[in-house]
Amino acid sequence: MERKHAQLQHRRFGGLGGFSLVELLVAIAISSILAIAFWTLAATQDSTYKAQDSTGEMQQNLRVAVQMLSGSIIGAGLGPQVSTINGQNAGAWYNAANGWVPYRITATSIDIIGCGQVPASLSAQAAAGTNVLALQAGQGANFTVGQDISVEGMESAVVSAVAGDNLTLSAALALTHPLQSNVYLLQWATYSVGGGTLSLDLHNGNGPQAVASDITAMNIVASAVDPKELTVTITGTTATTPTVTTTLTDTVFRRNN
Amino acid sequence: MHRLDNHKGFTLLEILVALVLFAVGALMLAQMQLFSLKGATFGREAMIATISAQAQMETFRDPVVSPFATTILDLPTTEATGTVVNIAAVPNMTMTYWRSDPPGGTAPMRFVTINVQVTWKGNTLNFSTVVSEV
Repeated sequence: MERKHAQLQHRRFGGLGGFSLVELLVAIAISSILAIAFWTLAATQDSTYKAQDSTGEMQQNLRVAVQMLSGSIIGAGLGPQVSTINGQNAGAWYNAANGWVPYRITATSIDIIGCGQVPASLSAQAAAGTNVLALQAGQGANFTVGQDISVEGMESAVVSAVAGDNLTLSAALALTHPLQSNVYLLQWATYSVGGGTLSLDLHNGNGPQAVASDITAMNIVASAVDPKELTVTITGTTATTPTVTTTLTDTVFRRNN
Repeated sequence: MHRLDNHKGFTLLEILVALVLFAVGALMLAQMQLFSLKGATFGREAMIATISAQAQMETFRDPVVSPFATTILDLPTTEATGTVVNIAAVPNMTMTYWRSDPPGGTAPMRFVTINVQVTWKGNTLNFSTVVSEV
């Protein structure tokens, strides 16, 4: 034994021998086990990171989709009943059960009329019979010729000319509107789901524009008690596999008409 | 030369200590992953809780579905007696709602604060809104 040890010592540290085959094999086996363990951990972490990243993105899209749609529904029906908007026929907005409704729902889309921004208010009273609206300073730039507007939600009109902060309308006003009355932009918005994307078409010649990706389904149902109350269900699915699906349900009721 | 002369291998104890150290390190890495997964799950559930509470409060603002004089004033007035609703999208998620007592203002211009509390897996989110009579 003493001799064998001495020999080994000599072999190992004298630089004459090297590791024995068995030692080498054991070392390779152990290091490969460790390498595989670390690789597995790293691979799991990488796929978890990717899945979480795309899930977060999908949920962000889902939230945007629900909030945009809900916001538009809340503002639906602002202003008087119109069936022509942006110079186009918005279609049959009449419904046997409820009369005029500011939206039209299909399996994959919803048309909403009246949702719009409030870009201006009157700087002077607009009397019945006039066709000119005087806006607050700087607000004339928010309008272009041909746009449908609503004054305080009481009556609608079409802009025929913009001169500084004065709007000329295509027809005379039927009502008198006091100072500070809000002037709204009327809109016809069509939200539709297709190809995993929620698109918004404002019928302004630009066609449908993508609003949120990862959106795979949309379902809108009117309440049986109040047709003005809509329940919006939107489903988001991640683009990467394995897919993650989240469904959000929101209820909104339109404040107008 | 003393060290080079040492031709003994590792003892079993040394190997075990090394293994334990390695395992602790690996476990901590795995734990980190678990932690971030939990965070992501909470984010998803909080989003569902928020939208559900918003939707519930919205129905109280609709005077046709929830007339003030009946539905709103009939709501429970304490958290303990609040109406409990299950939110199906997340297991064990429940929503409780009640109104402040007494209502502010005088008829027909009264208003109440509606409180909505969503609880699930030890998490609680509180929401409130004011609903007026007209």
